[in-house]
Amino acid sequence: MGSFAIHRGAAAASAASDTVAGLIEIAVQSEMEAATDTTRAVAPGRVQYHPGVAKSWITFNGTGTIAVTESHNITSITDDGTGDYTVTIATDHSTATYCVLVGSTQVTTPTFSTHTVCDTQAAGSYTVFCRNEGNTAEDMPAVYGATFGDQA
Amino acid sequence: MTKRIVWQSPDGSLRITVPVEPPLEGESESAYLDRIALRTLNAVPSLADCVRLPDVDASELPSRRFRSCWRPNVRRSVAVDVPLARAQLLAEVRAERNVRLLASDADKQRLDDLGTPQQKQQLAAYRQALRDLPTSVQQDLEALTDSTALERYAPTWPAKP
Repeated sequence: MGSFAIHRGAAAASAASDTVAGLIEIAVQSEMEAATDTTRAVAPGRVQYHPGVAKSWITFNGTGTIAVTESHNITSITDDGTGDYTVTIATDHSTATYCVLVGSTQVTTPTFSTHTVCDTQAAGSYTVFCRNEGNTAEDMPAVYGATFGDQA
Repeated sequence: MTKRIVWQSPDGSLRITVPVEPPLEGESESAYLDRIALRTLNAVPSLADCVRLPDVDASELPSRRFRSCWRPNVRRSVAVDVPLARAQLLAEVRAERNVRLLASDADKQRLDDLGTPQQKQQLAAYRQALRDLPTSVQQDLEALTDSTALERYAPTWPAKP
């Protein structure tokens, strides 16, 4: 026997629980952002409002002809120079204090001591700097970025 | 989508935007690029001082070997500025020359104490050749007039004794 869902506000005959099948409401944005409710269901289009979910992510090739491999919620990337890129997010974060995780992979030798940092960030964009072992800007064949935090 | 949006910074350098978001249904290419450019401009504060140049196809972009030397040419397309590329190459040669000079310091100290006059003379000649190298490289580079030739250029380093 399975659970089924009804729209918010409709009369519920009996509520579903962890152990009892019944009616269950769909969580709205504020409930997803609060991340405390254990009695409502999550709809695919609202998963991104949960604070534990990445609001945007991207992986791209930063060498040769710059090209995006895969992404979510990204408008564009801007090649600002050797090893320097700006990622533009499609739906902004609500502030510029969100968490940004960046990284890169270097395939040429040496394959160690490279570092990748986010230099600046705004509500809708962030920069990625890739440096080699000599702290010199270098294009990387795989550059990664992901953001977490409240979305506008 | 192989088109790229080109921006020129106040210092002359170029920034190239790659659209990622897909076009809307029925949206023309120019409308799509304008929409992506506007969204990017609004989201990236450092683009506020930049000027948008004509869009280019990714296949028209030069090699990234001299990425910092990309400038708009007379047709307002993206090209390598040859004098800037020469300066970049010369700076790279100087940096490598300095590394080799530094590496020979230990040999000089060792030979000052224990070396024969001939060994000392050979090392002195090597170090002088390293010091003179940028001058000869500069002359070589002045003779090269396109970025492809500059990209292929490799200096002849003096052999270490």
